[in-house]
This record gives sequence, structure tokens and C-alpha cells, in this order.
Amino acid sequence: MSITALTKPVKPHTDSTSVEQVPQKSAKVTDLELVRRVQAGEKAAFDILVLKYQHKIIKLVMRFMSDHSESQDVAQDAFVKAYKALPNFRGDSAFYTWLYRIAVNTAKNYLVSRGRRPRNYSGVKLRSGEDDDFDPSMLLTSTDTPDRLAMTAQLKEGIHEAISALPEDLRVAVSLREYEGMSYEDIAHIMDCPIGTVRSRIFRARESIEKHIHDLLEYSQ
Amino acid sequence: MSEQISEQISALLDGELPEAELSLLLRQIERQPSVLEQAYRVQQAHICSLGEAPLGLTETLSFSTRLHAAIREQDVVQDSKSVALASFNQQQNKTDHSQLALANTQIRTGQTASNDSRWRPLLGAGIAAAVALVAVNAWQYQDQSPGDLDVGVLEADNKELSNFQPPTQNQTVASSLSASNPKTDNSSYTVPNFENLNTDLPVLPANDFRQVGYSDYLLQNNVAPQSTSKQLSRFAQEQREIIYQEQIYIDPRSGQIVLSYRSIVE
Repeated sequence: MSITALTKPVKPHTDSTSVEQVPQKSAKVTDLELVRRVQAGEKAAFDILVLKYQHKIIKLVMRFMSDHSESQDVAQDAFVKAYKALPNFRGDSAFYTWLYRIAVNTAKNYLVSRGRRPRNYSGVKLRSGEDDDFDPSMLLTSTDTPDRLAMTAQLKEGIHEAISALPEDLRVAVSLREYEGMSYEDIAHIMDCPIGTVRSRIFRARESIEKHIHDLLEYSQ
Repeated sequence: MSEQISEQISALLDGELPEAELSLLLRQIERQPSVLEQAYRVQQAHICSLGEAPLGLTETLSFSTRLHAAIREQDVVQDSKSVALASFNQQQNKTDHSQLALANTQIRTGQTASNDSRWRPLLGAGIAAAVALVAVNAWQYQDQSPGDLDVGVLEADNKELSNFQPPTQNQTVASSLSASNPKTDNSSYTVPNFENLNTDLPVLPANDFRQVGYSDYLLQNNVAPQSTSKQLSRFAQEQREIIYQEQIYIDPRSGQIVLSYRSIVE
């Protein structure tokens, strides 16, 4: 889907959300702010952090072990350890980097405690920003099994269909966000609408996409 | 309302939620944790849009629920620990035995329990305070003891004692016991030499947290997650923190039923 097609002029849109309630410009909530809230006793902030990173951490741990339920247990352990250690987190590094290291160490320790050795290095490419001194020899498996690759291809198809079926304003907003990585503010400029409207459109687009791919996700596990 | 919260979470995950909205959002999640389910749905769409295959929603929510329970258990343990330590420090100079009696009474009758799971940490804290006070009692009366262990002794109420059947191995009778005030009732206190107690006494394995006592007993009776004992055990073994093991036995010299606590972590 080309960006030219996405950014053709659209009419200003009025959503049900009261855009006046959304400040146009203000500091945005960061991971560090969420961590500070957890440290101050607002436990719900940790729920947000889990929501944000659960997928990444489980995927990370799955690279170490082939057993799915085992990897979930280890991922859970990593989160619990992070929660216990959070009062001592000073913010010298990004929260995810810190969490990432905890997860890697937890997975390594788990394997060592089971007396396991890595079978091979499957050549998993680490993303930039992840652990630079990550020890690839500890890797057991890649999550990119043929089944998962097939599923990913299916999902891409499903996502494409879902986005194509969206009303234009939602389609443009979510595409600019997900594919172009633009900020809400930039999208608001492009679409000539308030930031609150952008926010609402992106949310509604995601809801609609999720409904479209829900069955695919559930039955492909 | 739920949709508005999900919209806020969607923005938050994008790093676009204004800080001014965070406090209200967190309060709403705290009040109504179920709103997170919709947020997980939205997150799935986001992950898919990035070209990745997420876990199924059922699996994701299941993981989230289990993690949530494990973290809440962690809260219970941490709160218990901090309250116990605070109580210990506070009570080194002053021991409020009436608090102990009240706490034990509340624990016995389950008054501190609430159906709302978010109060469980406070329940745990109350329990821990009671445990700590007992430990302090033991410490304060240690010089009377012929033994060298931190052993606090509580005598069962006479009324309950009369109905009491000696416990057998692996049998927990903690809920039938209560505390009395040692300052006003010296005769009710004995400090046995724990090392000399053996044979017929129900001495529990050092790390058997299934019989850890009040806290475990009450948590289980309030439908706490089944892994409570496992968590406590792991907590003790890994963190090497101070946790008291409750033991119930009959003092062979006095014949009294004794409830004792001792640190099980070296």
C-alpha cells in the first residue's frame, strides 16, 4: 500500500471522542514514568508495562526453548523478577533493555538448571536496540518455524484485507502510524485534524483489524 | 467508558498519551482490571500490523492472568516482609501485646479477610504483623529460655484447650489457637528448649511451607492462587529472606500446646 494512496486529502472528521479533553501538546507518558508510578505504589502501571512488553518477552524466551509452555513459565518468571527488582530500577537504561536482560538471564539460568546445552545456533537476527552482548550460543531455537512463517504470511494477508476494508480516514491514520511510524502530531498535520481525532481513528482502526483477524489468530495456534 | 480507556491505552502503547491523563487511567484500570482485555485486543492488531504473528488472544490473556496472580502473591509476600520488619523494629523497644491478641483474634475469625482480592496484600500484612509480634515476643523472652532458638510460645485458650486433640503428623491446628498476654498472664507462657523436642512432636520439615501457618492457611481459605506455597518456598529459597515457620507441638514438660515460630532461613 503506497503512502501516496494513503495521504490523499480527506475531510476533517468529527469523532465521538471529545477532542477538547485531549491536550494538544504536553509531555507524553514514557516507560520511565510508568516505572516511577509502580515505584510509587500504582500497581496498574505495571499491568501496562506487561501489556506493552509481554509479546516481546515471550517471543524472546521462545528463542531459547522449544517448549511453548516452558517458555511462558520462564517469561512469567522474568516479569515477576522484574517486578521484585523494580524498586531498585534507577532509569540508567531504558526499561525494555533492563527487562530484556532479566528475561535473557532468566532463560539462561533456566536452561543451565536443567542441564541443557544449546543444540545449535539458528541464526536469529537480533534487532538493534536489543542486547548487544547477547550470547548466540545460548540460543536453542528460532521462532521462525515453517508453521509460524506460514501463519505470519496468512496474517499479513488478513491485515491487508482488514486495512483495505477500513473507512478511508481510519485507514490513512492507522497506516501512517503503523507503516510510516509517524507521531500523532504529524498525522494530525497531514490529515488536518486534531490529535484527539487521530488517536480515536487509530484506536478504532485497530479494533476493527483485531475483529477481522481474531479467528485467524485463535485457530492458528 | 471501557472504550475510552482502551483508546487511552492504545495511545499509551504508541507513546502518545499525555501525562495529564495517566493518573486517571491508572485509577480506572485499578478499579476495573477487565478493561485491559480490550487493550490486549488492540495490542494484537498493533503487533500484527508490524508484520509479526502474536500469540492467540486466549493464550495472551491466560498468560496475563497468571502473571497478575503471581505478582499479587508477590505483593502479599513483600508487604508481609516489610510490615514484619517494621513491626520488629518498632517493637524492639515496645511490645503491644494487645495488638498481638487482636491480630490473632482477627486472623482466627477471618475478620481481616475480604472477598475483594485487592485487599489480600493488607490481609497478608496483618498476618505478618502478628507473626512478627510473636517473633518479638520470642526474642524478648529468650533469656528465660534454656534453649537457643527464637521461639515464641503461645498457649491455647483454656476453653479451646479442653476440646483440643493432640495434633498428629502433618496436621495443622493453627486456626484453633489464640494468643494471650504474657505480661498479665505469666503462667501461660513457657519457653521450651526446642532442640530437646523430638519423637512424638509434630516437627515440620524446615522448608515445608504447606504448613507455614496462619498466612498460608488464610490465603488458601480465601481462594488464593494455588501456587501460594510454591511462591513462598521459592521466595525463601531464592531471596534468603526471613520467614518464620509456625510449629505446633506439645511441650513434654508442661503438657501445654505450644505454637512457635522460628526463622527457617539461615
